Amino acid sequence: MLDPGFSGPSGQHTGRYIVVFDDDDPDPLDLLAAGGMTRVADTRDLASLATSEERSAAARQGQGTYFAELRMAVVAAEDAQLETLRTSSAGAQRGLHYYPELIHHVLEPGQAGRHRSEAAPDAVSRDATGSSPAAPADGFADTAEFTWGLQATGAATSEASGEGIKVAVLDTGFDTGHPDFAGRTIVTESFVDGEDAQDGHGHGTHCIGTSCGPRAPGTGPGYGVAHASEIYAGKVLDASGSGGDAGILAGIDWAITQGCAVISMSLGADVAEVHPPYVAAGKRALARGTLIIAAAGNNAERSAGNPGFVGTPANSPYIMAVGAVDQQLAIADFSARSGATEGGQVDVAGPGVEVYSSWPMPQRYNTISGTSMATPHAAGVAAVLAASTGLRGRELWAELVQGCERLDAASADVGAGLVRAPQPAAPGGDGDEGDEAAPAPPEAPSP
Amino acid sequence: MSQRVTVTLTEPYAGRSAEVAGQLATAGMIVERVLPALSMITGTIAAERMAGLEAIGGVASVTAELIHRLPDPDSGIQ
Repeated sequence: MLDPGFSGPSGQHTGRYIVVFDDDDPDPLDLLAAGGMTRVADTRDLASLATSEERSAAARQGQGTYFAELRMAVVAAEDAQLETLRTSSAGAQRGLHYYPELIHHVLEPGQAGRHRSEAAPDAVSRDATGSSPAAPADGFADTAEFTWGLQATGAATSEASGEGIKVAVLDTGFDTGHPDFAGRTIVTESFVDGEDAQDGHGHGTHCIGTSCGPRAPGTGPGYGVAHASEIYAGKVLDASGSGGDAGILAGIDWAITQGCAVISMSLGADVAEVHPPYVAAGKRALARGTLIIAAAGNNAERSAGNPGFVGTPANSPYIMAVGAVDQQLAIADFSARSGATEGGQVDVAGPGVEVYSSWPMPQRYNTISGTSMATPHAAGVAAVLAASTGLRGRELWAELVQGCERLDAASADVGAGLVRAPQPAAPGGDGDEGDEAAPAPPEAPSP
Repeated sequence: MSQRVTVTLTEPYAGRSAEVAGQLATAGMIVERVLPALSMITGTIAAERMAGLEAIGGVASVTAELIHRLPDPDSGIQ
């Protein structure tokens, strides 16, 4: 669809149009012919011509060129002609879009940063609070409908629900009697000797709420990102909040075997050295199609000049480390900075200050802070992306990072930026890949 | 004094964790869990015998267990 904002000032539009076909369109050239564009050259045919001059000449004789690999065509046509085709039954059914071809210019020196700000260079990157231009002037705030975290990550406006995706949260267990989770698919397992999977601390129930809880709980704001995902609650920390490698690794092994696409681990030890078992575990999980996401750690006290460091297991190169940002999207005082060890970097950031989520009954809800709260935001976004794109493992990691909203904060603090859920396609546009009915996910690797 | 350990197997030994677990037991390790998806084995062993496990075929590393600890539930920062 022609977006008026796309036309630009006169002189920027070549007069030709880019026609974008659906990935699954059976015969794009046939569709163009139906719109009266019968003389469009196919680059696969042009390839047989010997020289680029011959190819250009052949293309010029027609009405345009079709690029099969891109599933796009550049055509010389009238806007009205393309609009008629787009709104025809065939065009609408086959998801045809078109855009004016624009003239692109090399940026002149000094122009590159202009999209950021016209202000003096020392005022461009951040203001005194380090807040991001992506945040509202007064920062995000919980509303009656959604927590600030769901708003900031775009989950509040996303149609993606994580349906069909198994999300493991390895933590202090889960309050399976919590009324906000009635009717959900919940699988629990305890890897703590002498304790069942019931949450005796509260931390696990809070993290599961953020990653997988409801968007409309009936009382209070919605607080869960992947609200239709399947919950795999693995208890690896005891009621006092303590647990060793043996239980955590057993939980990871269990989650992989169960076919979980995402493992959320809001746990760690303040150890800067990489702990070898988590290097192997992260790598082997990715190879099996499971992405492990872990908290960067709360060992910073930035207000006192201490930036901290990413501890284990988040400092494994194959485990995604999540830092925490506040309602202004500035780095939280406690959120650990990237360390010097390989893999010891913060990869992404999530909302981690004053996060409202579920808590074991009878309290029902609690508002707390930490990279532990940022991590399930990232895990929830990973789950909805896994559902909407079908991607797993390293590809899911790349998709999550690609979709992050870049922040003014230092990359050492927030990595690629704030995790973002896919947004609905703009009317007539391509939008993000937020379609839950999109490609079928690949088969989970067999155990 | 006994030490809780994690034994990570090499990639070629993926799928042979039960076999390696038997050899670890012979070398003095009390095997608690065999994790087939990760090719890891956890358990306890006398601290002075820990280094001896690394000589067993298929063992990539032997690591002393770390303890991970959350703050108390009433702490504002988790």
